[in-house]
Amino acid sequence: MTYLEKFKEDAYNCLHCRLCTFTWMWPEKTPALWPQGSFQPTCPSGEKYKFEAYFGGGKSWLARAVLEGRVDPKDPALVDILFACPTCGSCQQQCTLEEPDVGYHHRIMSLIEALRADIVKAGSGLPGKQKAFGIHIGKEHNPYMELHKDRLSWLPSDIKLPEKAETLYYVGCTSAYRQKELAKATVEVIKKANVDFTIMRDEWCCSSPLLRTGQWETSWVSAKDVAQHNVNEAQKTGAKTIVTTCSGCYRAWKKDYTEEYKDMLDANHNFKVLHTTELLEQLLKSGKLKLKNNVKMRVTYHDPCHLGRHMSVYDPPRNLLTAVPGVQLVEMPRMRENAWCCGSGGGVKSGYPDWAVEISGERVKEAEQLDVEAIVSACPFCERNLTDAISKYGSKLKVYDVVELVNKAL
Amino acid sequence: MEKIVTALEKIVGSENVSNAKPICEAYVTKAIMDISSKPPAIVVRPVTVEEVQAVLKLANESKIPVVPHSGGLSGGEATPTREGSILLDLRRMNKIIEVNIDARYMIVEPGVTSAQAWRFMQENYPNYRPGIPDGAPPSATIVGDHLDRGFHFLSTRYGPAADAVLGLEVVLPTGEIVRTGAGALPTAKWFYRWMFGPDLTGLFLGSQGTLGVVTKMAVKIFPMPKFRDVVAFGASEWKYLIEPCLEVLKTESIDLAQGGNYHLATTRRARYKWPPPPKPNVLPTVWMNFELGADSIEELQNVKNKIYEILKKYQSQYVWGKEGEANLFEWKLDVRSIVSRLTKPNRISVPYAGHKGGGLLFITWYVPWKEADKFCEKAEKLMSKYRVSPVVWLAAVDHGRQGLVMPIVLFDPKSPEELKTVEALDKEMTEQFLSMGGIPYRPNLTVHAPIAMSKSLGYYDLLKRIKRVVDPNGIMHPGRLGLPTTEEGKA
Repeated sequence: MTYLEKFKEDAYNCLHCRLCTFTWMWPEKTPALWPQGSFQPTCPSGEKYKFEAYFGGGKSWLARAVLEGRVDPKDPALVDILFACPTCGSCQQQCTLEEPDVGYHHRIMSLIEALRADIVKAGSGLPGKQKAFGIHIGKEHNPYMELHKDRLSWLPSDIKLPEKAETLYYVGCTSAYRQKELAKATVEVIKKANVDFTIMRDEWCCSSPLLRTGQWETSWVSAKDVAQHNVNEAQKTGAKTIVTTCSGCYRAWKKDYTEEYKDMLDANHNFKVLHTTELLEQLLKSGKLKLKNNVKMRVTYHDPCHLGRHMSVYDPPRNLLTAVPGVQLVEMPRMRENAWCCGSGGGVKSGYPDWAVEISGERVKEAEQLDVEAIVSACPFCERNLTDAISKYGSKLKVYDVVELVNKAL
Repeated sequence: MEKIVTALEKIVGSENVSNAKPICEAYVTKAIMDISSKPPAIVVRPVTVEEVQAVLKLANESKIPVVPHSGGLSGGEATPTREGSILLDLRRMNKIIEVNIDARYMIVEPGVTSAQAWRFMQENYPNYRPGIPDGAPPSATIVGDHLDRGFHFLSTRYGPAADAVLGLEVVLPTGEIVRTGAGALPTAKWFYRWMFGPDLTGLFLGSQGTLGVVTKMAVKIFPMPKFRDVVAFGASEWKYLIEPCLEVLKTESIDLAQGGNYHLATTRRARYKWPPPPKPNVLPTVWMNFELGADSIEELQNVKNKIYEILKKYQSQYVWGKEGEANLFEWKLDVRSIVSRLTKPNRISVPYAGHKGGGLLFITWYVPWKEADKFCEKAEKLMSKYRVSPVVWLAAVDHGRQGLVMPIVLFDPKSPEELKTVEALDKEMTEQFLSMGGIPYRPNLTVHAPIAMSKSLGYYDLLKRIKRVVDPNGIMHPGRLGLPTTEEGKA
């Protein structure tokens, strides 16, 4: 049985109405007015490659063709169609907005990931450095070609954390190896709020890069082993709550381990999983976090796909930003459910690095229209790719994580 | 085939041609208006009219079938029904070329979607609106809807979308460019549908891509009224609804009249269950919405007063219905429903895009409004006979000179038995509706066109003769409208 067969109903549930090809957000509070970001391009893959196969609906009908044996999973043309997609979930979002109360969601993302896993299993797929990072995760437990022994090198030597605590900060590979300042800022903020927390001494990749690129059960790495290791290590800390700064890790812990890939990973758990923005918002509301310093800055907020569309967390980061004294938040036309992806997810950063920055460049240009100083996000992976785009296109924008601005205000 | 691909790559660039099976399969749509779609052999994405010309010349010389495709979801069954075709994906041709607010038209390329046109007008000419379809998602194109004489949100007032076309640029199958209407003269604007002589614009409208590729279209734009409202009639049976609605429509003051039976609202959530869910108390058995627009409150109120007068008149004539339901009544909509109804593009205008079953077929018919109740009742009976939820949508076109009766067939596309059922239902309904005097809206390849054409009086012979003259090798959208295929083109 193929992975795709599990999602057969989803493959057949697409009418091919093409509503997934542009922003189509229903304004709940003002039904008479379409918001500014409506009817705009929404699919990075489709906008780049244009053939129908690159849009969500085309992929659904392609899945049917695979299920009915008319397309061979080893067909080389499938590789770019399936992997040149940041799995931002916008196609799925635009589609399911039609009947949100029915309880059914057309799982286009699941179809794409299952098809990816099938063609990886068939010995194909994995453009660019995707297989290399998969192998590296198997050996060194991170996708950045770094050594596992250096994973905690970001942690200042003067910070001593207990073996056990109520809350576990799951750092994630990007913060641990690439956006170290964010990891440090997160620890500073949580400490200032007097939260009883620790980190894992033997943290591995969350497995999100493997799940997103179809490297589920391969000869070089097992997503199940990776996920189970993390859950076991987290349980050793005695924590009840896991906090992540990375939106990809957040989705993995909160949705992939317990719901989407629960059966395959066999890594279910009872931890309460919070994104840092959710934790900090709670601390702010309870008065444990006092934002005092003025951070005079006009900013816009970029919704990370894994936090927004994938997990429906839209308000906590905005509530934090508007609570920071001096911060003026202005929204981009494509925001919340309609946000344009930063381009780094779904394996695109490793498989199609130039295009990843191109996608991010469009977001940077959208932000520049607002005359802001900075684009703020809530995911180190977004932060990294937005920074790359700013560098490539010579923008004067700065990039921050919400946590970094909160830390400035403490 | 490889030689053709190479030649096409020279015309449009290699990034815009593909004969990869996964690319071709993704264009298939076995739903909406046809369930017999087949994948093309090659997909080509031209961006200029010169590229379209070159592609058609090549296809004509090589006698390869060509299928034009703009939005890909039109009732013209935009994907090939024959394997081995070149699919012309026209979505790169997406320019809004001109807007003329004095003559009130816009000229668009075939890839311009309703969403794009609406947004453009809102941003640049907010006092005017394009005639976008009210029964299709805004991913539908302006050209597709107008070319296929579709139903737009002012069709009750102004007629089928095709009536709003003021001129075309068409690339003929042999590669020549033709302009129709006033735009045929290089010195004239596209303000008038007619040139001297017969209506050559009309020749291509409804031709479903069988006579050429439309590369530009001038369509009317309409004023945005300052005040709008909705009045709705509910009734216990179709027969109590049709005549009072006709009297309202005869006032020629309604922007849009459309409605249906309660299954329209309930079955979308049922996921191909039989029997269908019972009627909820909040819904009438059948209903009709009248969308109204005016430039003053007084004017709007006058129209509403006329509607209420007609309602009272018929209520006094009708006896009280069985089970305590009034035969005819005003169905009072809440503010949210009215606002949703009037917001364009309309989310509830795509009610079945969200149907979670994937199998949906519109079997749509033009009928005389006065007889619409008989068609609706017949559709419900036939659908029930085949154990298909009897979902029927009804709309008025051109002030009720025509009615659009649209049975919406929901099915499970994974089930071969259900597909056979849908085909059998379609065939029987076609035979019966034709005998009752209905005209198939978008005749499909296998059922509607062969039956309807065989009964026509001289029409089919003339159409075939025109086809032979315009498309001597029969390359354009083979089989559509029951016209000769490539192989039979010279027969």
